[in-house]
Amino acid sequence: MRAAWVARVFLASALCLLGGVAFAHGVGEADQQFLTNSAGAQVMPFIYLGAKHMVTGYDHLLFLVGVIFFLYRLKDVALYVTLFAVGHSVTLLSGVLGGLHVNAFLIDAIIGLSVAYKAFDNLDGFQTLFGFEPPQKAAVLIFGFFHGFGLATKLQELSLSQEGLVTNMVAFNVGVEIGQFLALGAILIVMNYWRRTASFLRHANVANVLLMTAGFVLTGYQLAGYVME
Amino acid sequence: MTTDVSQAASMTRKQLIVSTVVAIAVAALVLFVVVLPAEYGQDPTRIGRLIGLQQMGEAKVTAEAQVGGEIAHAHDRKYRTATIEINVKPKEELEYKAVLAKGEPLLYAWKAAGGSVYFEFHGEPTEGKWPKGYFRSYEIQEKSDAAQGSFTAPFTGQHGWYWRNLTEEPVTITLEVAGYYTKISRIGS
Repeated sequence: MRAAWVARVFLASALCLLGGVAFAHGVGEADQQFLTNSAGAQVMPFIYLGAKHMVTGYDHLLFLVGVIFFLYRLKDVALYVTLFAVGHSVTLLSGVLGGLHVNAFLIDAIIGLSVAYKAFDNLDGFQTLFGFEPPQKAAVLIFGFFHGFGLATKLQELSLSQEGLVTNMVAFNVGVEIGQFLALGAILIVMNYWRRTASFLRHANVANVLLMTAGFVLTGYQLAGYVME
Repeated sequence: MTTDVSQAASMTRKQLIVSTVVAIAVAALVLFVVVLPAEYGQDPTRIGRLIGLQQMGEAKVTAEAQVGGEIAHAHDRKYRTATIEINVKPKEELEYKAVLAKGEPLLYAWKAAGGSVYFEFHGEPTEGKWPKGYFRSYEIQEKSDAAQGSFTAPFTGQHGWYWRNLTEEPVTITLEVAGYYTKISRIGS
């Protein structure tokens, strides 16, 4: 019985991950070409790039799924997503402005860990294993800081010119929030539908184990990249 | 998540440990069997080669290590060379450009004798759909008396130099070019 359950989790996570892991996540070559050739303030292009980065950024999206997994009230969703947005905006803006160059592999590894952390937290893992749970709001804010550093490294890859830097960076940040809002909408629709089914609570634990697995794979993927760099 | 009422039944301590260990094990398996071979061409388990992923990763790694595009390609066009002397009067500005098809190379070297010049190496397309007035700048130097290099045309068009004599004396520019251009000439007057 237990063995069958373990086998099912194992099989499901393997299948799920095979499908989703093999995309590189940076800025597209054509987008980069455009930006390298253009100087000055480019409001709409940077808004678009920020939104595109978020909507196609499975690491940020998996973290969001983890964060809102058990948030049923829209008020709570808004609160936590705001904390996340404040967190990543602070480090995105200060990282780019301060010319802070963090290693993209290490930051992305931490972002992977944030996914695993949130999934483990959703399983009530800290309470069950250690008898205490780190404050959730603080965790989302702090991981938001790390996600922001990740966004900053992506923006810095675009070899930004000093001309129009602040405008472009703010536009990128606005785009990130728009992208997050759109992605969140889609995630919430699916989650709400799923929550209404009788099987939700039965599958919630398995889903979070899968989420944790995905987080570990992302972490390993980035750490391996760091080692081989 | 103690504040939420409708939450999944908590796992027992044992279930939680098993789940976490399984998650780590699956992650490690996926990482070593799929991700490392496919992304980095590293195949510690030898399974990557069997399922054809390692080759993909290797191709990715070798492609990154090399310059893009073709290394060698045959040219149908006639190979041309030219050495051109260009006299630029004090404060005069002029343009010399070569007509090159997309992807065709040009080797160039020029020297200005008698003074320094401002230059912009640039090109504008002559066929295809482009925004009105489109040109692309390859290199700008505010004050210079020589430049040399190799160039591959990013699009079919006229590619060359805008020079401006910065001095009150005449300057003679000696331009040497070699490559698969079809024509090189002064633009305008």
